[in-house]
Amino acid sequence: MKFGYTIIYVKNVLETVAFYEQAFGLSRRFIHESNLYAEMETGDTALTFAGEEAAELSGLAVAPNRKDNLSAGWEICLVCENVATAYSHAINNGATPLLPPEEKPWNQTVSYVKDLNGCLVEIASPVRK
Amino acid sequence: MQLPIGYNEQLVTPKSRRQTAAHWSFIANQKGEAIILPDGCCDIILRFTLDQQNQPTNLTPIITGPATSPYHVEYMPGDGWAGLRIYPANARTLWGAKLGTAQDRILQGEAAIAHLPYLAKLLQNLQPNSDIHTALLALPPLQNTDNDRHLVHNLIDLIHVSGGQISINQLAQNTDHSPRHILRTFRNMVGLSAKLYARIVQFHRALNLVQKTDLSNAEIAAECGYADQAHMIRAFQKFGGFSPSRIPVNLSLPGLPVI
Repeated sequence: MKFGYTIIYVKNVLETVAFYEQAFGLSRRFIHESNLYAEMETGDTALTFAGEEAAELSGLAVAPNRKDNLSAGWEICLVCENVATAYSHAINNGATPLLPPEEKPWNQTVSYVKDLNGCLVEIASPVRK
Repeated sequence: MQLPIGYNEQLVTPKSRRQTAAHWSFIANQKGEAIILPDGCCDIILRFTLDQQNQPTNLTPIITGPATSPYHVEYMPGDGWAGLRIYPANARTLWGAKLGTAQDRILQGEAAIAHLPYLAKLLQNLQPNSDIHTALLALPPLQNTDNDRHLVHNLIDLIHVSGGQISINQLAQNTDHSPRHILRTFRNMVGLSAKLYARIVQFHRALNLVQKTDLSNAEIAAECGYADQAHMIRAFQKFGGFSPSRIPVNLSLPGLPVI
């Protein structure tokens, strides 16, 4: 067994891809022509988005992710060198501020925002030695 | 669900099916009976019998209100139905001021024509060899011009995505309206309360899991958001007329073959 994909079910795949490009500087790997599925260029740990219709198509029922809802109990963590800059850039591009960058005792800078769908996104530095 | 690069098949999602007036038909080739399960939708139906030359005769128009109860149909060889399933948000457009009392109602023959006079024209214009399906599709489309239609489409989608488990408060929060406004708007346009519509959606998901998986009834009840097995059994009795352990084989499910 190996970890394959993280798939987040969202109301609008295209808007979510555009948001992740603008707010976090990620780029898209591909968008399925149905606009119900997209993969971001995140290396082996693929971050992907699927339309909520795709969940229903698979016979699943999900709690919809929405901006005003209590966030679901999981997050994605994006790692960069300059957390303060990335945090401001995300907020200036539509991310909802949550916890500003903070130095942790284990030598890591950590901050949190919410994306356009109310999902938790951590923006953090690598743990420095 | 991951879609590989290069996978180009057109995806027909439950949402896209819900938003079209689905066109279905059934012609019996033997004596039988079927249980039509409720899906909260209205239909415009032509019932007919094929004669010796395979021509439809005895055409009866039928209009149904939002369905919430199972309906038993007995048929003989040659009995047929062709129907248009109406998108739930268009129920008000179909029933007008009578929607408030239309739940599980069935208008047949003259009563159906009195309600939708163009059904009389449709029947008059049917010639031998004319295609009933084409005739039905030529009915004037139900134009829902209500300003709140997008809100109701949104509510219907949220109910389906959550398998009927979303609460009224969550629906209100997710659409930026008050619970009171969404309850009133939903009932006004669909002809059913949002809660009842959600219970029908919840039932169909549970039924689907009973039919397709090896999960126990207790596991399915938990996955589908029933408080316990007893609540799920009551829902099966109400919407299907059977228990989860005795699913009849002659069920006709929403999403009948569309041709």
